[in-house]
Amino acid sequence: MINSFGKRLFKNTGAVAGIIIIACSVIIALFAYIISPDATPNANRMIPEIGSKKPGFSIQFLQVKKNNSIQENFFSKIINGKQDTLTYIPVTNYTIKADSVIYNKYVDDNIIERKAIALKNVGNPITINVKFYLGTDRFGRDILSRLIIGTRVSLSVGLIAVIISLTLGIFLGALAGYFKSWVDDVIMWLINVLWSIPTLLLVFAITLVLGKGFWQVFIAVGLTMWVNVARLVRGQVMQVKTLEFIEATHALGYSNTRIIIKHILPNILGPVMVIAASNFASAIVIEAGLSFLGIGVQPPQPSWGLMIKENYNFIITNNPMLALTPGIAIMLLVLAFNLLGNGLRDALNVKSKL
Amino acid sequence: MSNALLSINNLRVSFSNGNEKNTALHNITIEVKKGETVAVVGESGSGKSITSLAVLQLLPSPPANFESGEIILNNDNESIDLLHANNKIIRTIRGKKIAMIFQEPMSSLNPVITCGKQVMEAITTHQTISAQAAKIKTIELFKQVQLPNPELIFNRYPHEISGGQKQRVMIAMAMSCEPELLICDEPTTALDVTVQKNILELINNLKQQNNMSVIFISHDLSVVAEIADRIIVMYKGKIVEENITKEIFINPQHAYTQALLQCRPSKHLKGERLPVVSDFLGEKNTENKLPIVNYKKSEIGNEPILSVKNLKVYFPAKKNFLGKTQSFIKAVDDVSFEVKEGETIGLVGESGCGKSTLGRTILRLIDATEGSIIYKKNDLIKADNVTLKALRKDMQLIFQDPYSSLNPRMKIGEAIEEPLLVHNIFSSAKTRKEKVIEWLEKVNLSANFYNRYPHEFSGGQRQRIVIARALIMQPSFVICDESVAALDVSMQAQILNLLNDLKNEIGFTNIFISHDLSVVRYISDRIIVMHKGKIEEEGNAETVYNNPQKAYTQKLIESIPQIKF
Repeated sequence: MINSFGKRLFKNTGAVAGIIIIACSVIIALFAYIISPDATPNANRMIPEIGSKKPGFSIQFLQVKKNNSIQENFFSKIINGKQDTLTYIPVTNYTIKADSVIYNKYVDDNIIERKAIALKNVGNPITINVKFYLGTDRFGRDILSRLIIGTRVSLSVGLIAVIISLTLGIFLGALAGYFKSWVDDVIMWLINVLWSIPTLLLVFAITLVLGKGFWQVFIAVGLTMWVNVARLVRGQVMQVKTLEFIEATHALGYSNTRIIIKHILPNILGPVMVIAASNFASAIVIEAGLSFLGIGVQPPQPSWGLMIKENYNFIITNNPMLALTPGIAIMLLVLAFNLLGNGLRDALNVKSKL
Repeated sequence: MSNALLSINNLRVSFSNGNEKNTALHNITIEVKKGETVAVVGESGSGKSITSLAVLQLLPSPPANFESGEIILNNDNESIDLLHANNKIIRTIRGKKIAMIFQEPMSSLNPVITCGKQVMEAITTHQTISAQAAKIKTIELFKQVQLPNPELIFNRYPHEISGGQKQRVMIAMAMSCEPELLICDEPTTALDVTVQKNILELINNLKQQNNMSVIFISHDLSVVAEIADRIIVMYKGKIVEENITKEIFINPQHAYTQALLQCRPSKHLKGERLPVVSDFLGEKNTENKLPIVNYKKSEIGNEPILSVKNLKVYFPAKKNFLGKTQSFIKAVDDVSFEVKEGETIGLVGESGCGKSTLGRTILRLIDATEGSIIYKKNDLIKADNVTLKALRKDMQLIFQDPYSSLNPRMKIGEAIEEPLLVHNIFSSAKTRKEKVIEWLEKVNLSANFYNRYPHEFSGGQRQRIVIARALIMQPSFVICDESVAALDVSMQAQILNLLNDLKNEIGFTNIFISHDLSVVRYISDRIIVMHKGKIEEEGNAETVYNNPQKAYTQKLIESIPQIKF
């Protein structure tokens, strides 16, 4: 059964494409600080001189030592990134004279400032050449790095929202569908009330109670999305409950918990997985929307929605890519999850052809 | 060739499943003359339905693969090969020249369109006719198929009429364009015997009135005995015998035909072991290990193990807007009877008579409205959850439909083991597993089926699994709810034998619920006939069967298809 499920899933081109995109973004999210060119926490290396540059912009940096010493720890680097030990100064050229370095500091196009610094304060090598593949934002931060680290927010908001919504939704939905009568009435009343509140408003309310921030968004999104899951699970449970093998379990004297967990839930796994995939996608969109409105992830933490908010007024000016790239990233990831969801739906249909 | 309406020549059909290829039909040749009824008989999987679907080109291709042969329809001096005709031609033939009636009238009508509209649609698709004329014609057809109140039925939705009436609507739809050939695919299998008799008569009458040909597909030889001119017996995708009806019954040539005739319980006395197909075909005797023996008469005690008194089960039918029930459906209406220890009671009646509700109420799967059920001195209706759980070990139910009574996501070994686990019967997993394997072998399945899923088994095998699961706790009271109704005649014999074997071995009291009087007569000591929620007649099995007192019982017995040769 598992085998034929896999076979059907991998025959679906869309689903395979979705899985590849998702797998890539998971890898990127896990090793974000290793892959990203700017490995400082939150990719927050601000170099105001090179703000708002176009994709492909490249410049030489003079590396100047900072007075802080950082403990090298591999795991904390993977998780949180690493503080810079050097200050980066954009230069057009430099010369070494005795014990000092004389350089032309880049201020803006065609504007340079001549400066000098002691040689012992300069790192090794003295300069590096850096290319900004996707350009920089107005604080001179690398868009590519922020995009890479922003993957984490999008994936984890999806994951945690799905976990919360599935746990709550399956639990309440199964209770309502299985026991019916007053349990169903109470749960359905709750569902209908929540259903009638626009999602964004509800998330606003929850974030107002919990405060703004990274974790609050996860919980708020999860708490709004369980309603879909509960409705679906309730209907499916009601349907499976009428089948004869459930009656057989009653006749054999099994407990209600056992019947629900071992006999009903495995049989409704298919539609639940499909809705989990589509909830994952909508959680990403909702998070982006919240961050765009400023009540989601707070700066300086990079999030795709926040990046669009910070840069959307450049869309009609000369640098539209600043806002477009996070937009395209959101689109790709959401599309991938929806493709996977469609693939799951087809693959879980036992009657479909191999 | 000249006077054949339809001739299927050398048809070979296979199904591809991944890289595997299963041949479903091995070079079948069938000829149907004008005005003739040809019956195709065989067990499930013999290819009889595939043959009929192939004629109408209703088989999805792929996976179906027509390897060779032709299907020629001779019609007004022109012959069309249906196998190679294009879709446009096929569509003009479907419904107009060849019509089909399906097995399940419950699901072959569209539930959101009224019966009349559905028949009208069939008419207007093939004929250019005004809506008014089509309506008149529909009502005429409803009269022709003897539906009561044709004008009323016209505006009814399928769920508002009975199963037999739905099948009549289906027949009306099939007849709407006066087809030359009617294909009936087990049209009466899902219906009660009394309704079955009427439908068979109706099909026969229509055939004679319109001079059409009929292909009648069934798994039961006795059903077709009265209406078929010729019978074709199929087995595993091959035609094993073909002859005129009388010859098939008097002088069956092939061992399989003989087996089909012999394994029906009505031919045997109670306590006689039923022969099964493998006995005749001389195959390895895996399914039926024991030789044909007679069972010892079951030892019936004097004490009633179960007594039901004035039991009433009402379902609310109509509620007013405050949710207060205004009228009831009386599913079981004031029923009292006793079952003695070791006895087998046959509970017979048409669908809707309340027999299944009664069985489920005894097991407390449905709540009773009134009355008492005393089982081994416990009143089940008043029993609390703890007592009830203890009693569940002792009282079991074997279901009708082996396809839906097993959890599709659970290995069968685990399914059989689960009751032991829940009721803490054996503490160690190893003893439990040994017990399961012992029971798998007891119901004649192999021990290495333990890790398989239900969908890998045939209906008969699944029913064995269900029986093993119900009996592994060695209950002293078992209710079989139509446990053989969904099975072919040959499977039915195997399961009845198995039940008798197990009863002989562990000795349980049994209520056997069925709509089939001949099965009930064979297996039970006493028969209770139910009608509209009440007990109509009760008595010794042979007495009730051979000498029924009540008119209703007489009607039931009369409707059983008889072979009068």
